[in-house]
Amino acid sequence: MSTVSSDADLQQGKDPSPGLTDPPPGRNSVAPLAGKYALQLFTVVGLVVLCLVQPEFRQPGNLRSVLLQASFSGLSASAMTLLIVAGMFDLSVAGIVGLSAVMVATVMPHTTVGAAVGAALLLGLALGLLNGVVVTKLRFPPFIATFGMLNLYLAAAFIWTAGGTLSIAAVGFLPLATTQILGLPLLFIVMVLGVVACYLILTRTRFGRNLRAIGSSEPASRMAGLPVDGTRITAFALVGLFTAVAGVGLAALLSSASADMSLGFELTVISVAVVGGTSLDGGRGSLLGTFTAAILFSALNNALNLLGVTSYWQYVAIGLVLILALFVAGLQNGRLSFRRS
Amino acid sequence: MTANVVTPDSIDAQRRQAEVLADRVARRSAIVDRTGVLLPFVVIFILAVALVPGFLSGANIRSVLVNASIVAIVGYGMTLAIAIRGLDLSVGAVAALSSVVTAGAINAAGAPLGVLTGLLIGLIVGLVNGLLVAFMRIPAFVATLATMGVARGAALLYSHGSRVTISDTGFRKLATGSVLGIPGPFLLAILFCALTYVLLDRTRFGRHVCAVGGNPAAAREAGLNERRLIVAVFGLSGVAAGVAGVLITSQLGSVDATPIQGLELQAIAIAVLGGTSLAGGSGNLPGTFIGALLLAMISASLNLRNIPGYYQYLALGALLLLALGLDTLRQSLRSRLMAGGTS
Amino acid sequence: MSVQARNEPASGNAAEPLVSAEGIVKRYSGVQALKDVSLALLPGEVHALVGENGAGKSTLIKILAGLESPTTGTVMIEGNPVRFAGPHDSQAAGISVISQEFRLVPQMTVAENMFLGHEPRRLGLVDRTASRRMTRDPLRELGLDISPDRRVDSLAVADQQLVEIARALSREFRVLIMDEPTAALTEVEVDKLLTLVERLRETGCAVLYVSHRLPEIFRVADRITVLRDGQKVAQLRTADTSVDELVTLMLGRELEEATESHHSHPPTDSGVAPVLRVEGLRCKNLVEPVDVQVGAGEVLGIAGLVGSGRSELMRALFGVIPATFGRYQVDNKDVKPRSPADAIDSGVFMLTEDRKAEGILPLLSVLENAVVAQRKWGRLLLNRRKDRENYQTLHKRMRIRSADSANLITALSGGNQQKVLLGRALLSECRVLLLNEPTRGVDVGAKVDIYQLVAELAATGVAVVVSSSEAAELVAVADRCVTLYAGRVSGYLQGDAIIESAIVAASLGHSLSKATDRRASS
Repeated sequence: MSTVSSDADLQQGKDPSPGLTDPPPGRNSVAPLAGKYALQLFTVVGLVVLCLVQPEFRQPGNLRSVLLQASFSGLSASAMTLLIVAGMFDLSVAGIVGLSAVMVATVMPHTTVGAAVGAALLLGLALGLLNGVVVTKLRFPPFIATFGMLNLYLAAAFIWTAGGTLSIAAVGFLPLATTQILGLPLLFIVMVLGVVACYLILTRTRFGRNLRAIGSSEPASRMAGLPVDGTRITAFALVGLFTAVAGVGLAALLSSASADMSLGFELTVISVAVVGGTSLDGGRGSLLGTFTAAILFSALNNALNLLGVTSYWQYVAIGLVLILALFVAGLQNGRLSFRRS
Repeated sequence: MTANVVTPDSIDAQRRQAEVLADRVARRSAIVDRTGVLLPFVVIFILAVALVPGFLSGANIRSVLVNASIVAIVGYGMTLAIAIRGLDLSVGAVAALSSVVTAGAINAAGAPLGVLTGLLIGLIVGLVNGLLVAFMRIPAFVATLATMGVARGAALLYSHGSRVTISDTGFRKLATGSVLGIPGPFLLAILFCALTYVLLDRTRFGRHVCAVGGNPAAAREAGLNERRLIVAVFGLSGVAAGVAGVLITSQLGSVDATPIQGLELQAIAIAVLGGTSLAGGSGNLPGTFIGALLLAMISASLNLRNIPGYYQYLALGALLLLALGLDTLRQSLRSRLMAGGTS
Repeated sequence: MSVQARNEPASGNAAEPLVSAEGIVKRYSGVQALKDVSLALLPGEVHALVGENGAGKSTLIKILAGLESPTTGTVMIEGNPVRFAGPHDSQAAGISVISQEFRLVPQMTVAENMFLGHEPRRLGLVDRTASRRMTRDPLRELGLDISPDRRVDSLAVADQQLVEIARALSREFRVLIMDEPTAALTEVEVDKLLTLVERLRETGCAVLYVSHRLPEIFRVADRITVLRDGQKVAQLRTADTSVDELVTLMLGRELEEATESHHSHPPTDSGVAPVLRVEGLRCKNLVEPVDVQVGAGEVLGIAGLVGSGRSELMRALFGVIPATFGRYQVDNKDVKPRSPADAIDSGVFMLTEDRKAEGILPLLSVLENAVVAQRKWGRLLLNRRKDRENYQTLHKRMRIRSADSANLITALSGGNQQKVLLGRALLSECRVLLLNEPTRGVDVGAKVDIYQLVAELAATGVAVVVSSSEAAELVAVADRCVTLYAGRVSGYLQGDAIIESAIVAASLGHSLSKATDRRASS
């Protein structure tokens, strides 16, 4: 017999689901193939169309640029996917990008490139851990808590840079953004490795299974003795780490660092994860979807620029694309009711 | 061991006693819920008066009240959205869109039509949000994110990226005028607070909104029209953003499409600060209002002390975490006091 | 063994049925939930609907309640075919439903919940005084004397169920459908409820009573319809049948040991150290410190009504709620469980009473649900082969009915889910197993399986503690029984002294006669 959902349930936005003693008959776990890979199909078709319609789009240099741009959101979104699967999310990523870039820029003149990058990654990891502790140990709702942390991180970066921009001149560092391996940007390769790593973590490790368990039911996970808080904190730390990588990469690309260099990044990252098919309720996630969505968003941005569409229309277009992709995904999932984050 | 022979009646008597106690406790924690935000408000007020020269000046008080009112009105709409377990991230962009369109419409067709147009814009976007969420089953967070982008783009397109100045100086009086020394927008904010409070707490509509937010399945089985309620709530949130846009136009006289930085997140912050639970099912309108005043006092203080703009991030961040801390405290206080639990 | 469909002798229907369903077929994407089911609810009659889980009871109720529409077949109100577009239509037709799931809004008050959807109004606004006034009586009839302004989430589970029932009763109805209305209630409350049902019958209402609890059905129902696998296999007058026959009809097979006890051998008291030894346990709702001792292979039952502290006791033992212990030892080792994870590491495992909220991991597969609590820490990567092997063993041993272990666990019936959770307990290699309401919401066949499994587990040397509000259940499984009343121990029973009347009496606080009033252990 069920109770009325506890506050904890509702906090996560879970709908008290209908009775389970009479199971919905015929529940199968394999959707028709086309439906399951709809997003990938859509993206591939879209890319092909763009290549055909827009000659500038299919220039190798431009395609590389699309992949490069996708790397930033893709990296952060991969780890974010794991976090969302565990039923949480992190809005502070723009702040982590800013702080890690500022860290790299600040430390670099005094030491080697490797040490500077290392410091930035460590900082990202630490910020992630801090987020994790605040959300799990203090039991703050993740949306607002990480938004609060975002403001604090941005404030820290702004205060440190006195509102300005730090430029980076280190010769050994800038090539990070321009190097190619087999014709693909280095950062893109890094992103792919990141996606694969997250996929393996999610499907092949105990940690990954715990993520899914916790995302599907926190109380049940506690009762089963799973390390709920520890798992979540680790997931937050991963987001911090991966986001710091993106931040370092962005700094290399722009050869500068400022606090607000990626304002709005969190919305892009979460959109990428959501459009990629990861449910905001937790328990379910798709790294392939995240990867695809990152490329999709980047391609869209790029194509609109090439078409000479003013950036004003881009806002409109991206909003509409988001809605469309969600509609398709919603039909696929048979989503039943609306959720808040 | 011997146990006294106990009749079912005496069990009842015991339970009745426990019940009276639990009821008293429940009532007390409800009071804590409703007034929790007053403490930080008073603290910040005292600090501001003490540390910020010129805080009590007429100009500053007025500025605080007007700014607070604009955010508060948006906050009321957000409170409703949170009560039905949603969020409206588009309000900032909608306010911007509304402000530029209102300006243009006033220039083209006079103040009354101009204001109407601004409100209508808000309503339309709000209804679109509602339809997306209720009928296309898109999560509110994402749906309003998308409309935010669309609205922002539309605002930029309409204004061609530049400023729109209104020629009707009489209209400026709406935001800059006062009644008996009280700024117009402030009166509006109080009025809307009262109206929304009655709406949420005392009408069937409001109770149904809370029901859908608290337990959608229960609401459905009670025969409530979940979809219509969702559309209505987002419509109202949109109108609130529209009102804010109109007031902004009136206050500044010349607007461009940049929204008040982070208006939507400010609205969420003041709602949470004010005691509205993010879990849905309830809303604290007076709390939202006090929260808006709180936020405005902090911004004003920073401005008066010539602290660089980006310190606002620090203020907002610290405030939010404080709000959450209060909320968590309230929740744990309630669960510790409540009789509840299983057998 | 074949069972012929049994039907009551045809009789001229004196009255027109208030609600009837004819030839109902319901198909869900390839699966037939209901195959040609017909049912008639007559005024002044209590009609029971029984069947195992998955038999189609819930589907039929949903159709009558207007939540679903039949694939083919008609629903008729007083002989006129109708089509319900939604629950509103069904309610307008005079059907009120008490669902298994609480349809209460936790943040709203009792009064607000009672009148949700039809709030009394005055001058356009909701009339709170009126709704408060109109709430008191329906609540009191059920023995619930609480303020209508209490928020629902501040009430105990049983009280919430009573509010749910009161809500359905407060509507204007002529047909009342009750879906497992007594699941969270205790004997005293059940009695009040059944009296109410009898009174409803006298006023000419029709009641459809859906329940697993056969004793209740035999007390209150006039006729019984049995569903099995979506088909109606029998319709009988209660007077013409028996529990055994019903069970046979529901299962389609003869059930041995339906009511036999499942005791393992009574333990030897002397000398052997108990597996679980707890002294001076203090926690919320316990007025006096409690001692608990369970030997290897023993099943200790804990009985008690709402407010007795029974559930808190179990949760304290598992580290879920804060508690202090004078001594807590498992296999003679001191342990200090501060959380479920601690408890599991110490060799204690618990199945909670709320399987849906705290037991199953809904988005994980059956297999994953079973293997998730294994104590082998430090292994980073999953060993899928090992997991599969472990699960296969479980699957056979527990007779889990699931087509594919990769299916989501939510596809299983309540009884099978419970078995999977028991499997999880097994794989955790616990020394002490705490079972809190192990067969709540579980159908008859699975219930018997679970009792057998518990006995088998005990036979391997595990100490089992079963906490239940069903006295019959404790009679069936327990070697010793402790009853709690109002936060303190009110009685100890052992062996043959464990009978329902003794348990119920002690739970109500009656002192036990000298013959049974002795401690089970020295």
